[in-house]
Amino acid sequence: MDINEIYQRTIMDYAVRLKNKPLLNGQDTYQISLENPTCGDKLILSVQIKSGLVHVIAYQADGCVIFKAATAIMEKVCLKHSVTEINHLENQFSQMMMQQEIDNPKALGDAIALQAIVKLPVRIKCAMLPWKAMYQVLNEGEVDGR
Amino acid sequence: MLDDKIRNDFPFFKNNQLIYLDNAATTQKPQIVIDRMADDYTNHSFNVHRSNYMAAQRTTDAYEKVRTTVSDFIGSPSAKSIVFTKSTTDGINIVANGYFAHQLQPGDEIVVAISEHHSNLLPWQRLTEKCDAHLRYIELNEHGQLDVQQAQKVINDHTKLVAVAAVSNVLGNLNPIEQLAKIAHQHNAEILIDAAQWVPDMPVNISAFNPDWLVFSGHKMLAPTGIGVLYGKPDLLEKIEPTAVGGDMVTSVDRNHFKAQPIPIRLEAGTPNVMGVLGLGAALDYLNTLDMHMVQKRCQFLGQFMYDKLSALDGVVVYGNPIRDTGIVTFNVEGVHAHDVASALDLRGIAVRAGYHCAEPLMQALHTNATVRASAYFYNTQDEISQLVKAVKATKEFFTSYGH
Repeated sequence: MDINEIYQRTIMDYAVRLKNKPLLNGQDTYQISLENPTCGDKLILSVQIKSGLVHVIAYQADGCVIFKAATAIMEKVCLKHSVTEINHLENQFSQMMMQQEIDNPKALGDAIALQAIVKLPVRIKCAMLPWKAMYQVLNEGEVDGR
Repeated sequence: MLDDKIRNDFPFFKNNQLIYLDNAATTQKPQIVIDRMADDYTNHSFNVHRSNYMAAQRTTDAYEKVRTTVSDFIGSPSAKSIVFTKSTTDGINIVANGYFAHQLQPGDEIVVAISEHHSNLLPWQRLTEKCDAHLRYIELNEHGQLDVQQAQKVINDHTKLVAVAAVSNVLGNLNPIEQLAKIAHQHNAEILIDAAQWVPDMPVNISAFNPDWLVFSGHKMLAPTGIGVLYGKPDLLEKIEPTAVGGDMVTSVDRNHFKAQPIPIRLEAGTPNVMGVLGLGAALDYLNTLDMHMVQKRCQFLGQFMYDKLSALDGVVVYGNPIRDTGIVTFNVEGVHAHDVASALDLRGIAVRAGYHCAEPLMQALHTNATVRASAYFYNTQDEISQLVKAVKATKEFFTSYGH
């Protein structure tokens, strides 16, 4: 397998452009901190929910290219969507990582580029981490400043 | 001197194109070990120490003979000192939970090195916390070696145990264990050596410095997984309260009491890993035919070559002392996460390890969150190392081209 199959331009571009953003505080913000214990990818994710939509996403992300790209793409795909919609997207992304068919690949936007990671199973956790964090912060996350 | 022809002893390399540089994690097996284990499974699958027909007795004799082989291999004065365990981790936990848990008093101290593998750290962390004792650290000096001068200050009359790896699984350098043993013994403290990365790589003669405890694993030296060795001074092994009791370890049992077997059998409750022990015996017999001095020379040569070539690359940071003792070399490519480097190498057919290497406090001390570790054993070749170096260079160029 060629390196370009995994580390595609889309993935590399997102990873390079990723900028950590100051974490949110105040009303309707939620925060979670997750890491991959085997490799050390670390993510602190905070979101603000307004009128039922994820209004702002901010994070401190430190880790590998796949994780960073996945984080940046997740932000773009999830922003301004409702919790229900994001839960569905997360489900679709997980299905894709488990090599299962998904109903609406278009909804995942650039996250489709990460499909290649299934060929490198040891790295699936890196791509999943931001999605897992988003799911947890919306559904079971620590409530911050509520 | 061992040369590349030694690879012919290992069927893995005939069947696989992989450049295998993860030997600090586990090793490939020579045909002779595979054959002997196949023969043992085929013809000698009997339980030991209990069944009293001749065929089973022969398996018991073979099992006990390995105890002597192990004892001789590390220069132990007596085979009575050799306890078969599951692994290095298991051996350390037996010493922690079966012995020090009953010895340690509030205010006592246990000293470890900052570079310890979690297996030689967590049992002591948990125990000192439970006993209200203190865990203290020997730090690294500016050459990335254990700082003996600082160790002299850390080890004192409150120290009950100094627990250190002979060779760090990350840095790959031989630590000054003889000096540390001397300092420990001056303060009436015991010393435990984690020899998991030491015994596979070079000749070991423990009678030269008289450690109290020493542990290692079989699978890092051509034997199967699931078999480890605990060496203890006989008078100390006597004081271990067996962490497991049951079959095989007793001489008599009545309704209320049991009388335990002498050491070391007392510490091997239940049917032991007979096939693992026999496989370990086969591996040691094979290593003895090679001569451990030759193994050391070859590992050290490959490790030095790798260290020098990787250090010469722009933007590659190599950790530890520039004079190499083993085949282990740990590095990072500046601006590229260790896991991306490992995956890029994997895609080129090179197997290395990336991450914390079960040594998270050391990663913190090195101010990095992960490293790449390439570890050669005597069956690796200079050509394989050159291919690794070329691949690391290409990896750096690939990621740099995207502005990393």
